[in-house]
Amino acid sequence: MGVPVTYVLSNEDVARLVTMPECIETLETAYRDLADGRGTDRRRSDSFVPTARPGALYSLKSMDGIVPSLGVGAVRINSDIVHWPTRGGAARREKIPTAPGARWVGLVLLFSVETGEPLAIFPDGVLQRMRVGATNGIAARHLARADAHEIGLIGTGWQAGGQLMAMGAVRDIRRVRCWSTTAEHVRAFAGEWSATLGIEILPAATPEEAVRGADIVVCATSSIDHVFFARWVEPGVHLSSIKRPEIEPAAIRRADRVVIHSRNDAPTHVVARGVELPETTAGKGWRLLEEIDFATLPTLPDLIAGRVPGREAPEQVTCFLNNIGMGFQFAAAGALLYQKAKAAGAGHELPTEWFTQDVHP
Amino acid sequence: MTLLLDNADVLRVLDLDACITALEEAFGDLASGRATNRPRSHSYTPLGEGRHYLFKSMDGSLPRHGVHALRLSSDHTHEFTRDGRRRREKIASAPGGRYVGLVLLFDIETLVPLAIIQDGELQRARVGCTSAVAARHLARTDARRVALVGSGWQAEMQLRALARVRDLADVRVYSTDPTHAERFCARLAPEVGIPVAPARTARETVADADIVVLATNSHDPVIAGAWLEPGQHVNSVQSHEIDDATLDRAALIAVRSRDAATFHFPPGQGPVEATEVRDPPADLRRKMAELGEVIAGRAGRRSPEDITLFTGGGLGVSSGLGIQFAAAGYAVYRAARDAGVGRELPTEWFTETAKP
Repeated sequence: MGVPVTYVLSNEDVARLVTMPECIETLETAYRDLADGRGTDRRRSDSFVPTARPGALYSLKSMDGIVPSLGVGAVRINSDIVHWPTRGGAARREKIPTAPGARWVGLVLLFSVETGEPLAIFPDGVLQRMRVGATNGIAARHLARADAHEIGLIGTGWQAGGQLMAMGAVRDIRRVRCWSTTAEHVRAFAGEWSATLGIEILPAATPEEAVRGADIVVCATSSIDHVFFARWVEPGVHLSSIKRPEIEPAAIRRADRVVIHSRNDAPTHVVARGVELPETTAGKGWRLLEEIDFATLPTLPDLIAGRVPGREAPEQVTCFLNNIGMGFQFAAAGALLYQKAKAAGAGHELPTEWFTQDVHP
Repeated sequence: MTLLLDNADVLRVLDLDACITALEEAFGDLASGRATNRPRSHSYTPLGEGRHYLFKSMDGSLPRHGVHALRLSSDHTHEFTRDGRRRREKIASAPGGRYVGLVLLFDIETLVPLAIIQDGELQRARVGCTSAVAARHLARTDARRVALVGSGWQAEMQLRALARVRDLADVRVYSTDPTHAERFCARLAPEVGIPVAPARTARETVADADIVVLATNSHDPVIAGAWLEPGQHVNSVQSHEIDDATLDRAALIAVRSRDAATFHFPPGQGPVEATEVRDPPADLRRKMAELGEVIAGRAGRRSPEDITLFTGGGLGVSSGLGIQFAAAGYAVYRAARDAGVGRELPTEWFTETAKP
């Protein structure tokens, strides 16, 4: 046996090693640990303090989770500068890449449950999109019509691509109409992703045009306001959202079946004195869905474990709200990545001893 | 470059004065709302037979120095009964019989991890230097004689740090293991430059002392509150070593934080001992103050006869704080940078162009 090593992996390694279908299978299996009460998910926490930039705050966000059946735990840490600009009439939460070379800082540390040792350290970007996509994909597998072929997409940023990869993994998607607040982003996105996925992706002039007649409506934005409204709901549609405020409550109430990601959905906010947080003020972000009683709604693990039925009829309206991310997802997807990295000998191998100690802390 | 510092690196560059100052500023900033602290969280998976995998983390921001620290521990704990008493120990399960505890120090303007630091020595430094901050503000200014109960790893740092904040004349040390106490005295006397002598009993140690330091891992009280004398200041590092009489006799009980509760996930599944919270009765609450309030002058010793107490965890209301690791971590990071100590890893490994 060689010296124990800890893998330092890059986003390129993650993109090369982990495929969306594998990520979907791994997460769907792992969610059973949560359904059984064996898995652990530590509610996300966000700390905010002022920075030298007016209107922007430093934010340290962390979440962790343990997947006993995969023998791993993970913590995901984001070190961000966050601000809340308004674009196209909607307030958004955006991160400014202020790290050298205009980069972001998000890290996942993966640990062995058996020994406690760090198995891998890697940036969160690619896996983050993969796990969000996979989660909405799993929900769509249970909630969208089997013959769903058309997607109406609101949002054309980083997350939108992951959503299309995931929907394509669980349904035979043939056409996408997409819209976002910036027309040139929409055109660029349509060009890039039609080439990547080999399907028809059409820019839409309005959000209504994007979602009209769609079998699956995918919201994948950074908005802290609503972006999808009840008047656009059509029979048989599956509504899919990656962020709590995206779908207005009246639209959610139109659904025959609503499933959420987690009931553990109130992050711990720690804020320096005098700091106001736009996403927690009245009528925005975290406050937007307060009239929906999340405690009474089934979760994705409930759905996977068969505690609630998925779609029961073609004309039903279904809805999945990815209301909060889980550290648990990074542990599950991280386990998959680690197995692959080890087999491929990818990344930098650092002596695990650098991260362990003989001092009893 | 991101600095990777092991415990030996930390010891090599640790400047106690800088560490004490950084902690003092941190507690002051916490009291004024300038610094933020995220309460500790525990995530558990039961492994059977009283064993748990425990992932622990806490974090805090110190805008004054532009840093945020997250401290994490990836542990195996074992809870068992010995002599009719519940005990909990960490098991060194990592390869080579090792533990896993790390502090990640981030720059709040450039976001990058400045350093990844093994937490063992840093943990000891933050405990010792925080006690020193408490003594600086609560012990009488003319305090010169120290009673030390305990002669282990933590005791050493308690004494070293205390010697930075008061002009000490002598130290008497009691330990349940006399040989250990003697070795401790022989080692520490030359270092602190004053007489450090073993005592036969804990009671003898406490008599005539100005500052009483408890630094043991005892599961029972190691002194009786009745022994305390007017004007003494007591520093205690953990919850079980002080008795109720000590709490009763104290005119002021200083703690790190009133609201440093630990959050457990999933609730109710952790080891019994770790999840027990002792809610202090109203009469104790009334005389409790946060260390930051003491530093800001809003609470403190009111007379030379007051008995004052700083307790690390004595009331179940005060776990370690992320900002302590930010403060101590920052002091160590700066010193290591200046001295060229530690391994350098490319910061680019820990930053990304993919939008997280």
